[in-house]
Amino acid sequence: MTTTTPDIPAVTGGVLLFRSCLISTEYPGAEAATKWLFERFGIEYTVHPEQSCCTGLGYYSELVPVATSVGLAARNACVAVEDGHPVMSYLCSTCYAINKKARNILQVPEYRAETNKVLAGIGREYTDEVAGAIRHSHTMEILWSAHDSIPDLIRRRLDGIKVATHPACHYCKVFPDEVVGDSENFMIPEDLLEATGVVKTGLYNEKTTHCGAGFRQRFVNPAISMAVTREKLRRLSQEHIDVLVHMCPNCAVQFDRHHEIIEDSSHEKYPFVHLHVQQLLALALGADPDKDCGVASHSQDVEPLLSRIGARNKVTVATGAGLP
Amino acid sequence: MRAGVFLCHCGGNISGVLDLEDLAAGVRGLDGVVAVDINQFLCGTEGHEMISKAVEDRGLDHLVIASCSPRFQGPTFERIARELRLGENAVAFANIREGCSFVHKDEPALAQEKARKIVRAAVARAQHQSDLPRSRTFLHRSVLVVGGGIAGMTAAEELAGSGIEVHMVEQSPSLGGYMARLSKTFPTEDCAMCSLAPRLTTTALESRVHVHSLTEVSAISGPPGEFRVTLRHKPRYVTEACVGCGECEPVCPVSYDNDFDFGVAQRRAINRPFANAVPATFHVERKGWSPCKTACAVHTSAQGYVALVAAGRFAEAYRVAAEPNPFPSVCGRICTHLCETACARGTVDEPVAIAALKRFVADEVGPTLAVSPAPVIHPEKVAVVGGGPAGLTAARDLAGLGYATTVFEAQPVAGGMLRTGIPDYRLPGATIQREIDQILALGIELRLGQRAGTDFTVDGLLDDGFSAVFLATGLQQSATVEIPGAELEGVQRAVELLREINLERPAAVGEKVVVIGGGDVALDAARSAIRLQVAAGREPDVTLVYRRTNVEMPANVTEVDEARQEGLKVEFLVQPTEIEGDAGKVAGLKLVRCELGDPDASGRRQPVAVEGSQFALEADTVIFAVGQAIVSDFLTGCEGVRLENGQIRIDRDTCMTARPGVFAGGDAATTGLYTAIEAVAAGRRAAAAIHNHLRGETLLPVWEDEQDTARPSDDELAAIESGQRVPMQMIDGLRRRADWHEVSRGYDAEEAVAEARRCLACAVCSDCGSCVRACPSGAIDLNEREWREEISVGAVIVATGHQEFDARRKLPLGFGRYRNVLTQSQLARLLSASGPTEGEVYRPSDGAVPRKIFMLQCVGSRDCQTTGNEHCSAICCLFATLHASLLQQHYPDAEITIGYTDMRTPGKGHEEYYRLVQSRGVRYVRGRVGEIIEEPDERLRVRFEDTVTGVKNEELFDLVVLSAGLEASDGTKQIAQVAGLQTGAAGFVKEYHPKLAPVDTQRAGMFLCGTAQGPKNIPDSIAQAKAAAARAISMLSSGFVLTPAQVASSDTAVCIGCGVCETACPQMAVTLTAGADVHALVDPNVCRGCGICAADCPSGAMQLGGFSDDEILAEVRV
Repeated sequence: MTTTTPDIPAVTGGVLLFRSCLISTEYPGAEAATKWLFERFGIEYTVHPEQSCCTGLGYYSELVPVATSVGLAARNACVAVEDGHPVMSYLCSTCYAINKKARNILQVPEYRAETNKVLAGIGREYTDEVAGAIRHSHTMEILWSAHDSIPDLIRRRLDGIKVATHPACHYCKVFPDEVVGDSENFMIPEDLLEATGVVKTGLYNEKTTHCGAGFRQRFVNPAISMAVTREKLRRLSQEHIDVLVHMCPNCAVQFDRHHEIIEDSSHEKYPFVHLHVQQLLALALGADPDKDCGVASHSQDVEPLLSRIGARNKVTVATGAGLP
Repeated sequence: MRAGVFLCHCGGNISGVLDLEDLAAGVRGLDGVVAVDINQFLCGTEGHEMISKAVEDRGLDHLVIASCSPRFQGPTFERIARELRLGENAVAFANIREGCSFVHKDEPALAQEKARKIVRAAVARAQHQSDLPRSRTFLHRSVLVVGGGIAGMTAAEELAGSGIEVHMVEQSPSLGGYMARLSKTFPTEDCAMCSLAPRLTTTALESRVHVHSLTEVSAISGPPGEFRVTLRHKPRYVTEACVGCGECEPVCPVSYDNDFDFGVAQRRAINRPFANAVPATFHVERKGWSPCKTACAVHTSAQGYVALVAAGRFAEAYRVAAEPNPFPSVCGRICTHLCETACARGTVDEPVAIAALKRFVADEVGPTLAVSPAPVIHPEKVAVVGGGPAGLTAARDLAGLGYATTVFEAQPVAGGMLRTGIPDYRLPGATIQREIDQILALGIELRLGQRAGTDFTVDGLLDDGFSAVFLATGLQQSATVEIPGAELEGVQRAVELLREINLERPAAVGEKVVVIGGGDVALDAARSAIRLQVAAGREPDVTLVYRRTNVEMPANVTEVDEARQEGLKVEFLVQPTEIEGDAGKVAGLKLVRCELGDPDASGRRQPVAVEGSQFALEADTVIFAVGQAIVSDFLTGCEGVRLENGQIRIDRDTCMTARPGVFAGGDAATTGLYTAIEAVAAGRRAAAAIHNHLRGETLLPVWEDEQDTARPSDDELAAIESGQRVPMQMIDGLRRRADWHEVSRGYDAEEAVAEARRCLACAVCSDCGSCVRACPSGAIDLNEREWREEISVGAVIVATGHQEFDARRKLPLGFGRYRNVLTQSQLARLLSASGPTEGEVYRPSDGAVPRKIFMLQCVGSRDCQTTGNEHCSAICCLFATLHASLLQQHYPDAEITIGYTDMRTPGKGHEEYYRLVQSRGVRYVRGRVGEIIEEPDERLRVRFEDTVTGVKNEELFDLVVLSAGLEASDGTKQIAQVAGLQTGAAGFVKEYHPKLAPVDTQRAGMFLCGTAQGPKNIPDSIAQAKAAAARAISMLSSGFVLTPAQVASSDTAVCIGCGVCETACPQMAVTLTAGADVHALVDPNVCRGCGICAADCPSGAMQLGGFSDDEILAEVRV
């Protein structure tokens, strides 16, 4: 299988790595791995102390009104543009979709005016300049824009490791026309790993089915939520994969935290693990599993996989772009 | 100006909002206005009379009509002005309906003010309106109908019935279009073919309809009335002599997934789409030459013999392999097989083992063939000097052409380098001798031990009654190398060493051998040296040194591997500098290491010595294998023949030397390329050239005219499951070096068939010639070529139809991935009584009758995602209903569910039909499906929500049928591009006006009907076809056409000839004049008055009639 995702231009103009509540609390290693990769790829980025929550979890659980979400999105856009890092890189698909949705709402003059009334209280304004400069990208897109450099950076081959993609709904389904590649067969995660020698799965049964989390559905309707997750786990085990790679912490929590619980309750075995794409790619490029990828925060035991790919053996990796 | 202003109530549409009296009062005093009047319906009879009277009484020369949009009733008032002899462009329109009363009815005061301005502006404009000239064009009473489906045939029938000649162009092999592929039609459930067949017959029999099948329109130029059309006729490969007996079809070894059956069944490469096809002749699906055929020097139809091997027809396969090449068993062993390098299968996994298959058929069939002498029919005798592959091939072809031929060979055996240069373990002497014997059996005389220049001369041959001589002496000695020590004892030359071995003369090498070179001869010498050492009871010690790397090495890679298994040592990137001697004998070899520098003339990177890298190898024998050279003693007594760079100089096109009647080829001549197959090709060319020379005509092509190479598309290649070639049995490496037995054992019949089945049939037709031999009327001509024809027609009707939406674009629905997911078109073929299954529906995965069937509507239609189309495809609800009904009646226990978005069944009898089918037990569920999942038993899991009841369902089905929507066909897109027609969503051709001119296009004289315009059912297509025919008839019946008045024209005094207008014109109506005083010229026959050129013109020279700058400025300045 060859790479199917179209090439996109290299990112220019400064990246703001948008921190995510779920990533920070559940899988901080995914953020660490992203930073590590940005440095390897020579992508200039910042993490801004003034960045606030995207409100996604609150909004989708009907706790936060839409005006609040839009207001915070406008504020975050102002922060990024003022700082000269107008390219948002979202680690979480919820952040991605809600900020992009807000961008569209802010194109309506009345809503923008209402929002700016509130922003005036903190001395900010969502102007045409901000609207023109801000760019909302999933981290997958930023990494893909630099994928040409991957072959030269590989330090641990992943030959024979079979990977499949769990496409994040809020990336693929909210703005399907803006997805890089095919929204119904999203391939960036596998295409990013292609050069490392992985075996790609491509399309599989239930690929477009969601993870089952559904924000509060996980707690309100656990039976349906887990049934959906189980169905997807069952289909993936038929594909004989080694790793399901993720691009959204919501999905990762649903799968990684509940994998063994579902195995126990269903008396089935799903012999594979879950990792964020950034973690697996960083491992292939020589990152440290603990320091750079935070594998200890996973509920599943990923040690057998790490041994298989030799990730417990140290490799020499340059510390930053431009260094030997 | 004496203008009359006429205001219209429009039955209250205008007067209900505007005060017309006030408007009338406002214009009464204006300059040039001499009459003002108001009427209830200006466009009616009363209004007509009022205008006529005013013109007559008041002597009006301009009319200002304040009424509806000129797009609506403009032509009516222009006609009135024309009848009143006011000329063209005498009417100014004030649109106070669509432009005012309709849109401002809530603000009457403001509307009144706007209307006053509109009317005043029209009066101002009228001041500047002047008469516009029109001219006549005479019309060809003939029509081009593009597309031979039901719409095109209907239009053609109507036109022919009116006495108009019709050129009907159809790109596929038969007329019939989509309808010919359907089973039945809704709502009457009558057989599609039964309705279509009579029309096919009448079209075929109608003398005024000229059917051009397998034809495309490649260009249309000229004005309406005399369009010049270029037709591109693709070859059918079956001539009109075909009587349709069908003898050819069963003998064809190639089957392919054909478009006519939408891939649900395979057809032979030679076929007829259906029994009633028009024309009734068969056709060959042939995409050109396969890559293997192009790559072969003699253009052997490798795909042909591979296909025949796959079919187990070995004798016929041998015939295909041996026809262009008298040495199939030789080439099956030692050919460089560029065919395999070119093989498309190589991009999937490994190329088909073409050479091994050739060897198999040659070994299997060759020995069983008895050859009888060819009759001598020409008086001239031909002499061939040199009995190698070039000479013997030429002799065979010349004997076949009827010439008495004699071959002179210097060695005691024939076969040339094949016999004396290649060791037995690669090519057994008995094998080549058999093929030589078969060549000689044609009646060719062979004189052995006859060396040209010594035993006879070329001059002597010509004096002795030979009319032509072919020199194919080859390169019979090793090339020399100038390095110190080359004269020492122990230095050997590869060609000479191999010849001694092959002629079973004494040959020996030392204990430590170094072979210099990287070609086949070097490897042959090295492996032979190993065998000589083993035969002498020694452990082999042979090293091959080559100055480049294994990538640049000319020798076959697999052979290097085989040699290593036998114990050969190989050193790459080293170059010898000196052979060291001791007492006149070789004692060792000094070498230097190299690296690769820039490419040389041959494109290979040149080795460059690395300083200080000198080293030495111990050796007592050094064998040079660095090229071959000509032995030129045949030049004695050979007047007029010259050498050039060590080869005989010949003319490329005639293969003749400077001496008339003396030809040359193979390695010895300047066109030689040093491989066996190139030598065979040279022999074939020489025989053709000698025949042409002796007969004094150009009877045979010397260099074959190559055809386009066919290759499967990337999509087709991606769909092929990868595997590997059937391995060939070999003798073990250590055992085989002990003797001279052939190393590889070849395929057996079972292995050969398995390997041959890996062929991808790139060109579909394999050029095997089986049909040609089977055809009793001699109707098959595989040499047919595409040709072009120019015709003139008065009008064009586009009826190029639609194609089914490619359901593979909806990935989650599994079409193309899961065998049991079909489309409605595919199901139509299965349900068709004349289809591949004669009306029985089978589940593709196991051939069982499906019991539970799900039909999914709106696949690719009513779909706003980028992978689908927004439009409703109009027919799918009833198409699915029809198929559900047919299935239900044919298989009463079938359970059919139709998942729909909305049921849309407008049209006569359609709703009733839907209810009838529903009452028969077909389940209709309103709900779309996101994904179809295949279970391990290939049943399909479908989840759908009944959005009427809110019930969620998840069920397993045996078969899923996708109601894929309609898109413009490729033919529609192609003709739109060629004819410059505008297209809209999904590629459908745009009509001139969606309501008022639904069968006209943007281009005058070009009309439109059927699904090329948009999705529609059969009766609507037929109705539209008749309308299009009527439009063409009304245009052509007058015999001439007036150019429109509102066309652009260029003021040549102002025009600067910049050409902006020429580029901008969508109709291609503007051209620039040639010569010094360049300016734009508009063809009023072609111009449709869009005005783009006038708007773009930087100098103001280009003006649009009726919309001149003066008229528009006067209007806007009010």
